[in-house]
Amino acid sequence: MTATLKKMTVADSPLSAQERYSVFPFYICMDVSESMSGEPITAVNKQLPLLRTSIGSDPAVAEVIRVGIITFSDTATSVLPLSDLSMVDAIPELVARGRTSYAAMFDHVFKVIESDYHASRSAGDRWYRPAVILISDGRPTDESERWRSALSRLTEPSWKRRPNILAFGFGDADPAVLSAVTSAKANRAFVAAEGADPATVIPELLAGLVQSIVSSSASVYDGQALLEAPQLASMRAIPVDELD
Amino acid sequence: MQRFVLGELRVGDLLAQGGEGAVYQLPLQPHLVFKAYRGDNDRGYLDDLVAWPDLLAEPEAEVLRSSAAWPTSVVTEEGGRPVGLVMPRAPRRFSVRHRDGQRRLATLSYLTCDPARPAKAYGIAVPPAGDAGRYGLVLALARLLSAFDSVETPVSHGDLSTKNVLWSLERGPEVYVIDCDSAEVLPSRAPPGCRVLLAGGADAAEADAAEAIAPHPPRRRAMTPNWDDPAVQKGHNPTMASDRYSLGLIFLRVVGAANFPVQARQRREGTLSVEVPVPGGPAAKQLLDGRHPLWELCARALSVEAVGSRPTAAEWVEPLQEVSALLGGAGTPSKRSPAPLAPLNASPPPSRPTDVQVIPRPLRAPKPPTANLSGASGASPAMSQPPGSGSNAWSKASAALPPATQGPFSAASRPGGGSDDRSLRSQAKVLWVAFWRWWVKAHQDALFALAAGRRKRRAALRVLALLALDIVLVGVAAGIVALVVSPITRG
Ligand SMILES: Nc1ncnc2c1ncn2[C@@H]1O[C@H](COP(=O)(O)OP(=O)(O)O)[C@@H](O)[C@H]1O
Repeated sequence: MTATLKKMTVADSPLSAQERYSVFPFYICMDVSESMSGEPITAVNKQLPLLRTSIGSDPAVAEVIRVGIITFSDTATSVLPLSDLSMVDAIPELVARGRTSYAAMFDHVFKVIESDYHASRSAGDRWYRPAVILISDGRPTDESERWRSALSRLTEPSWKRRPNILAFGFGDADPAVLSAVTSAKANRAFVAAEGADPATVIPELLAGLVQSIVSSSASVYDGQALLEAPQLASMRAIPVDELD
Repeated sequence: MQRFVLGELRVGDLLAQGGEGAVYQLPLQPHLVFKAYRGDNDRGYLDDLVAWPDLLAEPEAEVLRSSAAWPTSVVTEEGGRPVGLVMPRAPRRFSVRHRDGQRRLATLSYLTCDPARPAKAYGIAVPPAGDAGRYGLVLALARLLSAFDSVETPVSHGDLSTKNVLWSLERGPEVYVIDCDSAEVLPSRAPPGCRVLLAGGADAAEADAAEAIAPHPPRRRAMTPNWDDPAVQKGHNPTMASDRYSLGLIFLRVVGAANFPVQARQRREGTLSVEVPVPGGPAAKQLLDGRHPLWELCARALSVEAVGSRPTAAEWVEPLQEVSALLGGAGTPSKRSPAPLAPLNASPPPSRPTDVQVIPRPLRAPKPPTANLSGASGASPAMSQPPGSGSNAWSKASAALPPATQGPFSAASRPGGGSDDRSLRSQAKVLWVAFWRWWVKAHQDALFALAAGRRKRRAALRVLALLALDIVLVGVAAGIVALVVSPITRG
């Protein structure tokens, strides 16, 4: 790549931000605890490149969608920083190990949204409310109090950038926990039938999610970002719990 | 009229799924595709569509053949019920090759963004904003649309969107329009009493021309979000005027190399003011004149208030030809431009619409990065000339912004080696330039909205708010001057 190409970013556009659409940011939060190792993580690694081929390769979709991938186990990491997928060379391979700290993940998502938002603003991008897509095969291994307080900071109604959350569970995921995670009005949770094989659930789930994200790009062009939860044969929606 | 029975057709691999049907290859006729519809809607209109080109004179028929996938035959079941269409396949040159080696249809999306984007993302080079090739592509589309409009029973395509308008610069600027089966053959615009035979045999003269004749039950034809006509209400079908809107929109986006999300603004505010970048070069002087016919055509085409005076495609042909020739593009003045039928009750040339303003802006090519970095330490051009007038300053300054994407690319694309001091200064410069641009545009827009006279209250409030802001700014500036001056005078 020449020096000139390297230097050029989308932000170099000589036109004002007014002539671009606002972008719709997605954070895919992938549980990579030990229980995901083997077939499940292989299935994830096989499906994730769909992000590039379905979203990144279509200029009209890529332009308005940003995707970041966060993995969590003992700690949480941004393995793919929030990106325009047409500019991404490869989706990193995920490795499973460790326990399942929801607290680490919620804290990380909070921080990342704050810093990504400010970076995007100063580059002239405007944002729709970000969507967090949580995919987990287990129960939180941290204390209930810890993850609940991290969650409440992430979903605090007074925080302007609080994300909408879609949660998907399979394996040992606890419907009650997922339901608590998505208790705010716009959020939804889904869980696979008990005993469903992760190796079949994961491809269906990820392919469905990518399709949902592609469809959401059309809604961005229509002037209001909409995210439809994918219709999945192997999963059912969990009713959101009432607050006590 | 050509009809095929489905059983006689050898259908190959699936090419793509559309909203209404699936498109298949035909192994025995590689230059054709077969579109199979889902569902069992009444598709009697397909025969009229296939027969429509017979009405065209030869030059227009040639334009249609070379730049549209007009359906050539109806495919039916044994019983005769239409289930699909055969149409030409988009020639190979209307596709682009991504870095990964795969070919994809060359949709407008590659052109309606900063050219740096497809270059970096896919390794595809597209001409810069305002390039001759871009004017040439719009010219090619204008030629096709005026062929659509060249007979007594014109057609409206109805969905000239990014996916349906393909482009190629391989043999000079060409377009190829697909999804032509969404088009509608409009009822004759001939005066009552004048006999027009629709190709399907329906006798249009029987009906009162004032009453639109619908030889077939109306079908729902939706426009693509972002490529729709804001004058058409949700749930309603596009009209002939919608194609005229689309031509103006495509001109704006292709020549301006940006997405210009104008429809939301038009729906929300009723008025629209857009700036189109004009690069330096042989045509710059003419094009920078806001009264150039192309800006006026574009403004009229985008008007929602005066839908009836949106320009016909034929009106675009000559000015586009002139500009592409001036810019040294293969202006291709060869084919005579299809002579459109004069509209009935021809009215005097319509004046500028009051709801849309299209303003040319000078654009200079972004400087290479080295020049940019060294420039930042010297006298800043952004400060020494009125920033509003030099978008050069704007593009230079915005190049110093942190990258929008933070993928694996960000590390490489961050301006390297600059000291903190320098980056602080350039940040300040960016902010200042951005603010100045915003200030100028806000005032222009507010005054334009006020002058346009719609939503008076809202427009007046906007002007008042800006006025209040200006007073505060003057106050702050006076304060700063006082702070600087007072120690000097005292000392
Ligand atoms: N003539 C054609 N040549 C090549 N590809 C085509 C052609 N017509 C359609 N396609 C492919 O099929 C897709 C869907 O076709 P389209 O006619 O737009 O269907 P629909 O109107 O049902 O959405 C297009 O986006 C394109 O990829």
